[in-house]
Amino acid sequence: MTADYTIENIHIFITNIHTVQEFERIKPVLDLHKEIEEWNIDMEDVDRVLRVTTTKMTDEEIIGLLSQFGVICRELK
Amino acid sequence: MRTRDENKEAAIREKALKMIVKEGFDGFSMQKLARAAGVSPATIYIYYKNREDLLNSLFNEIHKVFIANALENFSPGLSLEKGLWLQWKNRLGFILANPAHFFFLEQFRHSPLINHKDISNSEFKENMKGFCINAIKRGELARMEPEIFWAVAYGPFYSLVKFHLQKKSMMGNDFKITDHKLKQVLKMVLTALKP
Repeated sequence: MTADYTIENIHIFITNIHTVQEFERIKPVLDLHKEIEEWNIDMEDVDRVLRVTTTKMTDEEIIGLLSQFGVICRELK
Repeated sequence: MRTRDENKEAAIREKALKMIVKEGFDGFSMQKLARAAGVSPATIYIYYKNREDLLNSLFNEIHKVFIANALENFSPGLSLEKGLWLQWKNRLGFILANPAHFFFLEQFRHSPLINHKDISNSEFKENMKGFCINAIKRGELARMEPEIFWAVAYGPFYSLVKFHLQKKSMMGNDFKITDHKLKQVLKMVLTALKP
C-alpha cells in the first residue's frame, strides 16, 4: 500500500481493457507519461479497475488520454 | 482537503476478514466486499490497488500482531522445554483470543500469496533459528531439517488446537485443550526431539 497520499491524487476508473493484448498496448502509454506516478489495472475485477496516482492530472484528462488509444473509461463512483 | 479515513479503512479490513472466514479466498472479491461493507468499490480502491494488495496488507497486519504475541517474554536463550512451552502458550493465547485471525493466517499460508515479495518475517525467523541453534549446542535438540523440527515441535500442538476449535475430534468427542494435556504432549515432543 502507498504510504503517503491524499485521496485527491488517486483516480479510479472502470475500463474496457479485457485482454492481455489490450493491457500490453496501453501499458507504455501509462508507464511513460511524465505526470503519472503510479498506476495499475485490476485484471481480476469484472470492471478492470484502473487506478492512477497523479498530482497534476484530472479525471477528464486521464479519460481523454486513454480514449486516444481506444480505451473507454469512466470514473468509478 | 480530504485525507485518509483510518476508521473507514479499519472497517473495510474487518469486513474483509469476516468475509474470508465465512467464504474463503475464492469467494472474496472487491465488488462483494464493497457491497458487504456498504461502501463504493472506488473507496476500496483508494486504499488498496487490487484484491492481492488488500490480502497482503491484511496478512502483514495480522501476522505482525501474531509475531509480537509469540515473541512475548521469549528469548532465543531459553531452554528447549521452556521456550517451546512459551511458544505454545503464546500462540494458543493469540488463537483463542482471535480465532478469525488465526483462520485467515492459515488460509493465507496455504495460498500462493505467501510467496509474494511483500511478505516477510525475518525477525521472527531469526529468533526461532537462534533458539534452535542454542538448543542444539546444549545437547537438548538433535540436528534436523527445519521442516522436520517444525513438524515435530509444532505439528502436534496445531493438531490439538484444531480439534479444540472444531470442538470435536475424530472420535466425536468434545475436545478441550488444557495445560495438563499440553504438558503431556510437550513431554512426548521433547523426547522425540532429543539427540
